[in-house]
Amino acid sequence: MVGKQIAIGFTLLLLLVAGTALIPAVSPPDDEVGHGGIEVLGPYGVQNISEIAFGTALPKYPGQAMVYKTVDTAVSKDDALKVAEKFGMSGQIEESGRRIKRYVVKDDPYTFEIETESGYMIYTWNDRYSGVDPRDGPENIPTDEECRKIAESFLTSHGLMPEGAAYSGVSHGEGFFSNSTDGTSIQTYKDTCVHFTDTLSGYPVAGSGIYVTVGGGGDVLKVGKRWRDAEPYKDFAILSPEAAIEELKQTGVVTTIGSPKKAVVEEVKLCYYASPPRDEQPYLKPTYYIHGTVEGENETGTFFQYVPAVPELGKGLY
Amino acid sequence: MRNTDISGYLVRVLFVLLVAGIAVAPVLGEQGTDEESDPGVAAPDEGSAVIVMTSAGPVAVEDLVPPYPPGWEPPRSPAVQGGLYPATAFDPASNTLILHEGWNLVSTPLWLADGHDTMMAIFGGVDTAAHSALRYNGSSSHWEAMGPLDEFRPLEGVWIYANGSYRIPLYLKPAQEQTAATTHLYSGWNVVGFWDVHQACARDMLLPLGSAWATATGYDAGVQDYEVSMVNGGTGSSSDQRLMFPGKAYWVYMTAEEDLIRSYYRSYSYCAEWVGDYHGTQAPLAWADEEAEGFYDTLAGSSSWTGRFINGNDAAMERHWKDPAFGGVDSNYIDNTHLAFFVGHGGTDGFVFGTAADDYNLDYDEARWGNTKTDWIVLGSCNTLNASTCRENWEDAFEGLHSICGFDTIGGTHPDMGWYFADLLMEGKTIWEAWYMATDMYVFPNDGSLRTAILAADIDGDLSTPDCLDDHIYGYGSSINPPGDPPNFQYKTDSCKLEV
Repeated sequence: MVGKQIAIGFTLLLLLVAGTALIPAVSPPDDEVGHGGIEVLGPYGVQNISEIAFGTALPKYPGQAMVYKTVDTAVSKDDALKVAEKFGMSGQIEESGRRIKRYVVKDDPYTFEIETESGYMIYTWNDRYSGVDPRDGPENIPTDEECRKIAESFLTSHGLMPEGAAYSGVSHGEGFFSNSTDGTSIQTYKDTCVHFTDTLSGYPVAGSGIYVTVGGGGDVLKVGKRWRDAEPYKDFAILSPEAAIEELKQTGVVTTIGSPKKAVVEEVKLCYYASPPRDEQPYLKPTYYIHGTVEGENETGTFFQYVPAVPELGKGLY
Repeated sequence: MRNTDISGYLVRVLFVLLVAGIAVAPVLGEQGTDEESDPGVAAPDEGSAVIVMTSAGPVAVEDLVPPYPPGWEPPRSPAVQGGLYPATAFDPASNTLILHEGWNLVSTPLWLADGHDTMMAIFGGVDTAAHSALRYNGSSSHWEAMGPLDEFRPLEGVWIYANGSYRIPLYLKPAQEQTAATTHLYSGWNVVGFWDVHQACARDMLLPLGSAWATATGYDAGVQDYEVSMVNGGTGSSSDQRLMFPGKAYWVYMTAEEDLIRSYYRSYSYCAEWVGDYHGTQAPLAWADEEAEGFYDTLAGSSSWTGRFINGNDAAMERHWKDPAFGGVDSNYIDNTHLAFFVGHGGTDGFVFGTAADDYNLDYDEARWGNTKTDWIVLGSCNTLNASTCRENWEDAFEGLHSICGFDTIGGTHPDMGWYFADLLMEGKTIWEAWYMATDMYVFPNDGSLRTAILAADIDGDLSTPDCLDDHIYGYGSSINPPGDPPNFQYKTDSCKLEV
C-alpha cells in the first residue's frame, strides 16, 4: 500500500518536473509578453525596399544579449535643487507647468527646468537660444573637437556626466538671414551640439543621453538630458546582423527617397532603444541600428532603421 | 437565381448611395467654419490709379498730401521723405513715448491712468519753443490748439513740437481697466492714433473702416517729413501691409464717414487638419490623428484661444490651405484663424492630402497666408522647410504670416507631440522653442540626422534682433507683427536630439 502511494507520488513529481521543464525559462510573465509595443512604423519616411546589398562587412555579435528592465524616474524638489546646484544656480526654485509639471530655477542668464515625471532636464542661456546673438556667428564657433572637450569638461567639472555616458557625436544648429529683395542669404548662426549617449552592456542606448550645445566663444548655451534608468533583467537570444537585414525588408527604411529600389547597408550596430518619456516601456531591448544609402528612380539618399533584435519579445521597439 | 437578384439589388443600392455621397460630400466639406468671410478691403486693379474726390477736384490717391501743421517748416537738410521704417515713437518695454527734435505726430497706445492722462501731465515738461500742441478736427477741417487739461485719448493724434529729444513715461491703465476705444472719422482728412503697444499692418489696424479709408500717412519725426503713404489695397511701397507703429498717429483720408472701434480684449482662433489614411497614394501615417487632436484639445484649455475646426483624413482638404487667387478657400478656413496646425506627409514642394476632391498637393506657390488672419503655421510634415529650398519656396506665402515651423528633413509623428507642443506654448515658450522642444522629445525613431526648422519674417533687417523668431502665441508673451510682404527672413534649424 505504502509502496503504491510512493509510486503514485513519484509519478506526479515526475510529471510536475517535466511540465515545468517545458515552460521556456526565458519568457517574461504573461503580462509582459502582452506588451508587444509598436511596430516600426510611424515616421513619415518609412518605405518598403526590395533589394538590399552590403557595402560593408557585417559585425559579429554574441548570440544573446541582456534585456534591461526600466526603472521609473520621479524627481522631487530636493532632487531638482541638487541638480540646479551642480549647475551653480542659486535662484529660487518654482513649480511650473500645466499638464507637464516641472521645477524651474532662474539665475540670469540661465534657466534650469526639470520635468518631475520623466526627469527630462534642460539648462538654457535664455537670450541666446533664438540664435541671433552676434557672438554666435559661425566664425566664432570652436572646432568640433574643441567643442567636445568643452562639453566633456563642463559636464565632468560640474559632476553632471552620468555614469555610462559615452561620446557619440556632434550635430549643428544653424541660422540664416535672407533678403528677399536681392535673394542673398548669409549664415548668421551656428552651434555645436555634443552628444553623450548612455551605454548598457557596452552598447549605446538611443534615446537616452545628455548633450551640451556650445556656441560662440565656447560658451555653453544649453545642456539637455533625457535618461532612461534601467536594471538587468535576463539574457535573450538575439538575431544575427544578417537576419536583422532580412527583417529590414519587412520593416522598410526611413528615407525621403521616393519609391526606393535598392538599399546599400553601410553600418550595422547593436544598441538599445529608449522610447520618449511617458511612453510605457517596461524593457530596453537589444536593437540593430542599420544605416546606409538608398537609390530611387532618379535620386539617391540615405536611410536608417532600427530593427528589434529579440524575436521572443516581439517586433516592437518597446 | 434568387441570390443573383439580391446581389444585383444590393449593387444598385450601393451605387445610389455612392453617387449621393459624392454629391453631398463637397457641400458638407465646406461647413467647417462659421466665421465671417474675408473682411479685407477691395484692392484696386493692378496698374490703375484709384481716384478720390477732394475739394480741389479728383486726385489719384497716391498723390494725396496731408496738411502740415501751422508753423511747420521743411527740414533744413536735403529733403528726404520718411522711410518705411520711421524713427521710433514708443518703447513698449518701458511704456515710454519718444519725442524727436522738431514736430512729432504722436498718440497713446492705450488708455492712460487717471491723473496721468492730460496734456499737462504728459507734455508739461517739454520745451515746445512757444508752439501750441495741435489736433485736427476732421469735421470742420480745422486745426485746434490743445489746452493743458485736455485729455490725451487713444485713437487720437496730437502734433507737438519739441525743442530737443524727450523720453516721456506713459502710465497706462492696468489691463483690467482697459476698455475699447472709439473715434468717429469724417470724409476727408483725419488724424488717427495707433492703437496697441505692438506694431501692426495698416490693413489690420484700419480693418473696421472697410473700404472707407483711402490712404494713411505717418510723419517721420526723424527726418521731419511725411512717410510714404499706405494705400488701401495698395501694393509695393504703398502697400497697406506695411506697418503702423505704437506711439505714432497717422493722417487717414476717408471717402465716407465711419466709426473706428478697437477693443482691448480679443479672442484668437486656431485650427488643425491631419491626414493618416492616404488611400494607397502614400503610406499610411500613424498617429497623425492623435498628434493633431492632442494639440487641438490642449489649446482649447486656453481662455484666449478658440478652436474653429479640426478635420481629419478626407475632411482635410487642399482647398482649405489654398489662396482664393488660385482657386482655394483658405480665407474661410485656415487663413480665417490665427494659428493653423497640419500633420501629414510633405516634401520640399508642399504637403499632401488624402482625398481626390482637390488635387493632392498644396504647393508652396498656391499659398498666401496672413492676407486674412493667419499669423503662424505649423507643418508636421517631412521636408517642407528643407534648408536648400524653403526660403525661396515659401517667402511668397508670407502675406501677414509671422512664421512657419516644420522639418528640414524627415520628421516624425507621435501621439504625445501635439499636446506637448501646445502645453509648452501655454507655458510661455516661444513658438520656435516649443516646436523644437517637442520635436526633440518625440521625433523617433531617429538617428540624430533629423532636423526641425522655422522660417520667420524679419522686419528690420537687423541680424541681431530675433523679430518673429521670438514670437509667443497671443496671451502668453510678446510677438511682433511683420509687414505683409516681409523684406527679410530668418531661417533656423535644430537637430532632433538624443537619438544616436
